[in-house]
Amino acid sequence: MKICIIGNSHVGSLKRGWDQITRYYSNIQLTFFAHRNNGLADLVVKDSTLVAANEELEQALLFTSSGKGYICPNEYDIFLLYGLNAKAYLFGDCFYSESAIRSSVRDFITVTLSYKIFSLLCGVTNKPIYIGHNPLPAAVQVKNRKKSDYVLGMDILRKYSPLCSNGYFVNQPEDTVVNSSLTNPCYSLGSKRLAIGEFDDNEEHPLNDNMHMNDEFGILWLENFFSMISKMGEHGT
Amino acid sequence: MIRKKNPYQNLSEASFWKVAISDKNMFDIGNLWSPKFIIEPHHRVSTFGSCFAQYFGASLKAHGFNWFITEPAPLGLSDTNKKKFGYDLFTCRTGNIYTTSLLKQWVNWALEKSDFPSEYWEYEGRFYDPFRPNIEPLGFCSIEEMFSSREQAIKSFGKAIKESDIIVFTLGLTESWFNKELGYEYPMCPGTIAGVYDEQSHIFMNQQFEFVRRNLSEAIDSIQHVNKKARFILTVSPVPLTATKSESHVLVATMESKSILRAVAGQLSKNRPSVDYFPSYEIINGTPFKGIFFESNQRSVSKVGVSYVMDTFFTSLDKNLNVSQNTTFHEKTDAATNLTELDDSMCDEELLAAFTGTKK
Repeated sequence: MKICIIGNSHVGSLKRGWDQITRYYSNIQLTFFAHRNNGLADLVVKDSTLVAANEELEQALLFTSSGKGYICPNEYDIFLLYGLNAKAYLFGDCFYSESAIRSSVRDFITVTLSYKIFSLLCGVTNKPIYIGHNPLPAAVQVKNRKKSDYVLGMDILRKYSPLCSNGYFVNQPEDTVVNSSLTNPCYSLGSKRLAIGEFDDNEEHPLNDNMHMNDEFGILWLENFFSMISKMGEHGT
Repeated sequence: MIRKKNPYQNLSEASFWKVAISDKNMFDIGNLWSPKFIIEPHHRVSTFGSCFAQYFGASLKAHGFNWFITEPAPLGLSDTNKKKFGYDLFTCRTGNIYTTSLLKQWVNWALEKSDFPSEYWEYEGRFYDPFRPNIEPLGFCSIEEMFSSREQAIKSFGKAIKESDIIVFTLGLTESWFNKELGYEYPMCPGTIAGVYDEQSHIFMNQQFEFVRRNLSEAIDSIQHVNKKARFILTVSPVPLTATKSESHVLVATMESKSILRAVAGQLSKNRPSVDYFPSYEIINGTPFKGIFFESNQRSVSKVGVSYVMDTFFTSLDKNLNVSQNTTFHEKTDAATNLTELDDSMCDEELLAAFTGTKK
């Protein structure tokens, strides 16, 4: 299976994680297209292909994909959009009407870069497009192993999602969630910057960075994802 | 001629019309409010009341105060949709509370002194809350959803009155509508926004001074019974009536209504140390300002007017309370910019204008 992964700095943990587990997945081939921050906002569609609208982005695409300066949907079986300002939808104990929830989910999703690229892809392919949100911020300390707000929120996101039929949301591995809506801090220790061919590639994030996750998280995330798409394949969805 | 001593001799400039008003440019008129108590940035400040009350919440937030939101919007809801669904207009989704009796009704529901009514309105398969008829743009999908939403608003209102340090309440109207048999009050006449007006069931009341005063006084007493630290800032909405059901001309009805509300607010603030009065009404309607803060319809308050009122509020806090901050409240953010988000306040009463001239 050929998987195209498109994302921003958060892709770093998946890429480094993948480098460690590649040998166990001979049937899977991953190609990464990434740039830091909102650099991928300059992707545009040209002749049914996603191309960079500026040279800096093109360089980042060439570097992260090991030689491809554009994203041609025909070359992949499925797509994963990771990070790109997509966030986990959290739900507390307040009552909301169905209309308010539906509006909020739409507003929540459609302002993200993830949705923008999703829309570009939808215009050129009917293949499955998965969306993985930015990791939940790392907790300062683990108070409990509850994941209720997160799981409920993501279920609601799926229920009211405005994505077209080939779009799917992916939860982060539930074992990594603590304190209802945060990531276990052990997964943010030693996180590193996304490599795009710059002087600070793979440099460790500052200690107070609680938004980026490490290679171990990347491994867990990918294993969870592979398991999910395998099950979906079995069920024909 | 030798002048004898008299009580006016040692008064400040602010006591004399000539020096306080006539000799000044209207924008230099100051010292209109001397706050009774300090509002610290950490104080929880709740806002409720008529349409004009909506400006207080946004301004408090813009100036770095702790605007207490007890019913937050669902995650991600855009500012436009927050406004449509009645989030972040007041501390919770009460909709407009125009009268002091409506305030008391909400207090009684929240403190379980009375049950909330089981009435609901249905139109084309959607359900509307008679006590917040405009809170859900297309109505609720079921009766159960409507009641759950109302229960949430009452619960959130209860949290606000129990946990706030300051409650800002803007008095809006004296004209009101009640259920004749069961005695409860509607914020709007049934049949205007939703529901069906029925002469047998619905009754009009133009509230008089004592009724307004007693209800506000009782509401404050009830709140302070469960929240001893609660203090109140009362204001009177400067916005004239959209329409009157009284026999009077709408201008005369407006002046009567606002005068009653102003007098009640004044009396309570004079008699209670925990109640203050802020002169929104005077700033917009005072003759020195020549009506310049109104839009061309002579009713809607312009953005400039709203900003002027709110600047007066925060400047007065700065001047009178010597709040120890790095920057003054009114310098913290550009309040006018933030207020543009409230371009048009969500005002149910304005919908009455749609009935202009429908009489045959």
